Amino acid sequence: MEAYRYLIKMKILVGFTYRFEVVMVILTRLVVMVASVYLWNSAYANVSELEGLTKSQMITYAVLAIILSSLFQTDVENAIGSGIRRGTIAVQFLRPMDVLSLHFCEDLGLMCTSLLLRCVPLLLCGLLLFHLSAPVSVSALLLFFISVTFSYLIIWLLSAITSMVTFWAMFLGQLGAVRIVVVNILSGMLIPVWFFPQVLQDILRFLPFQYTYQTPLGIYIGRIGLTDGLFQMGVQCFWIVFLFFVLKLVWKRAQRHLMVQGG
Amino acid sequence: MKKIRHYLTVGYWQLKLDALSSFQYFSFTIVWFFMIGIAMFSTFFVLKAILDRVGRINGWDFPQISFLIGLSFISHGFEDMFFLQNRYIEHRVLEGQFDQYLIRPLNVFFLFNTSNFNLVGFYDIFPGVIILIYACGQLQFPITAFHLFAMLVITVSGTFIRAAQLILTGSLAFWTKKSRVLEDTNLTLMDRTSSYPLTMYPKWFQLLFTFLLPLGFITFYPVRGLLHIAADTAFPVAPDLLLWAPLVALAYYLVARAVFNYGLNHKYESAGS
Repeated sequence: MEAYRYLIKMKILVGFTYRFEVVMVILTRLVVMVASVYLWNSAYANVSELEGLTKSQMITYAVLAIILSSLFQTDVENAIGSGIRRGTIAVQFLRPMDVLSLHFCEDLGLMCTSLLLRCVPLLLCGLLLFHLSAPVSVSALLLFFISVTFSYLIIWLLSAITSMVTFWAMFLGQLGAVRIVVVNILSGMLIPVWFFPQVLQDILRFLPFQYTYQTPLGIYIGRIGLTDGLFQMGVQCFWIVFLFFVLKLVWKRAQRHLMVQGG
Repeated sequence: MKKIRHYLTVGYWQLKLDALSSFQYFSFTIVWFFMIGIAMFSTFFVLKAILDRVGRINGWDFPQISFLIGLSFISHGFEDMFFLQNRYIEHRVLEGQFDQYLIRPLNVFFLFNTSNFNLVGFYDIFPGVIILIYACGQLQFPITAFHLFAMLVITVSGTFIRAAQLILTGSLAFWTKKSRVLEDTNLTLMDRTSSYPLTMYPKWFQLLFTFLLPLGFITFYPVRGLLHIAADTAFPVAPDLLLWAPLVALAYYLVARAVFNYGLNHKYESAGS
């Protein structure tokens, strides 16, 4: 356990080293945030509600979605990909710890850094510039935090499963970026799934994506009630367990395909 | 004349060799193709979902915004195809890689700006063309010689404004040794000012991206003029005139070139090994 704690701590310390980069990342996310807020401002110029959401709810949703996307940072795809390409994965297997847990801890450290260095400043900017709405209730806020934790686990498991492709293909290329783009669209990060055609909404109900962004954000702004919120969090738990077993299965097979080169 | 022919031959061979090497990594480029396609169509999809419900955003309907997005993606693609190396000036400065250009008997700015051909840029152009064709169909946009010429002017101008922006920020590396971190901000700014109507932003933002960093001329102003969309900004001069786009592009590119040359000649230290 001490070793895993050390990995998290090291990742946090590394994150704090690159301060100028952090400022620029915040600036970039701020540009995205400003563009998104003004887009929704213009959209609501002549209407009071869209898909049951008021302007204030929608702007809060959009801003928090951008903040969450800064929080949901994973590096497992790059780490495993480069480990296989350079042969350093062999060293990881020699360490007295589970390789996947090692990458999970590193990503937890990355997330903690993002929380402090990206999410908090972005949240402050959001509060000051766009007057974000408060959560509908204390219970909603509590469920929001729990749901965000579940969302992170789903996203990490999806990233880890994507990274397994490297064991067969050797080079992941931009597959990780494809995963991010697909998740961003289908999760309601760019625009709530409630704006999608009904057929697509029906299909997405049976996939894990919308439970990563829309569920916590919907709970926070009150579009998803507490009962429905609890149900959707149950679905999040189902996806965590399901994806965990898929990862275990693929991981077992992937190790048989491991071919170490370089190193 | 002989000198120009010599420069063109050198540029042609640099680009040809880069194109050939890009094809060596076929699976890599295919994944890029899908990633860029999905990412670009998602912008289109988000705006469609909103405009289907509200009709217009700041006087722009969906086909008009599609026209804007289409041309924006195309100029983004050409910028990626020919000017991508400007995003990595930092690396060249840190490694002292400009030495290899400085010892050649050709203009360094020219050599550097023809030193890369990135096939992936084509994958940005592809969705852009599809969206532009869709927009033209929806708008019943007349396909005359003048209109085709106007679209060509907007594309070329937009490409050079984007390139100038990359060169300017990339050249900061001559002074600060760091510029790569600015590139994501840069790309986000260029995309958000050229794919959405600029008038949806506050006045100070519009002024900034019209007069200081002229990103509004990548697509917004020339497209607004071409599609005869009512202007709701009151600037002393009408920026919608098509002629402004190439003039602004030329001026901005020359400024960027001057900054690059100054940085290279006065601040570059041939560090690295």
